[in-house]
Amino acid sequence: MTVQAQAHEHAHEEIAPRTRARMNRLGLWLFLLSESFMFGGILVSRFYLWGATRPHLNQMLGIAVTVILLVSSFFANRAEVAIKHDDRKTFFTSILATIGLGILFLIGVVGLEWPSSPVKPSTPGEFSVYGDILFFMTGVHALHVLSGVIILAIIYRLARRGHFSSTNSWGVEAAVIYWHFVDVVWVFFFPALYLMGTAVGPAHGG
Amino acid sequence: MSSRDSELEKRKEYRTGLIVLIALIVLEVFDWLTAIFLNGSVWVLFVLALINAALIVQYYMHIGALFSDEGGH
Repeated sequence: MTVQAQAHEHAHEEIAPRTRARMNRLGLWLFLLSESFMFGGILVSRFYLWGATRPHLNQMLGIAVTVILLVSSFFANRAEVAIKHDDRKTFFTSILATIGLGILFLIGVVGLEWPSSPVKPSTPGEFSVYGDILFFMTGVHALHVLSGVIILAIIYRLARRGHFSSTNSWGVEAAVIYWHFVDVVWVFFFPALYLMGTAVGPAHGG
Repeated sequence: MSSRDSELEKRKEYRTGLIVLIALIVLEVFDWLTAIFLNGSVWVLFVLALINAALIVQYYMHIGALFSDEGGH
């Protein structure tokens, strides 16, 4: 073992488990704080460019994908509780439900909302402030949902190999908190895109 | 903690998660009603979004654990 490796191991042993847990959580929350600055900036740009108006979007589809994401958060929370009590069966079914609902959300936004949207992103020669904001907000958020799905799939695979238990659940906790954060972002994006202000322009699907 | 206590605590946590989900869905219904009857009032919808976010951060993301010694493993 090299000197550096020995020093690293020694330093690792010196940190009490409780302190390490707090440091892990603090690091994760600081990361989420930095993410929230980015999403906050995007949200502000919506109000600056759209004001008290919004495009005619499919509100029923918006509510449906929102409920799907909220239910996925419920299952993510259930998975976290389950692994902390060594209830592996509930953990696996809940993680799979979360992943499935996340994929369903992506299909709803990218597969259904985008093609049927009455506004499209700007093209050379044709500027569309409604399309740009809509596709930017939903696109950046969808990328985060996709990364959350991938992270949860990795957690599922590791758990299948016996990596997590009631005494070693940080990986699950971190992935689930990230998933909830993506949910919190949508809780603000959904009303900002679909509900706030007066609808202008052509109706959805038209 | 005995296995019975652990089982009871687990059930309590599952139930809390379900109650929070129901509250979140009810708030979404209020969101939709606000869009229809209050002409999409920005301030009302923003307050509803804040309540939604607070519920998720408190009960699902366990922000309180950030300042406690819970889960020292």
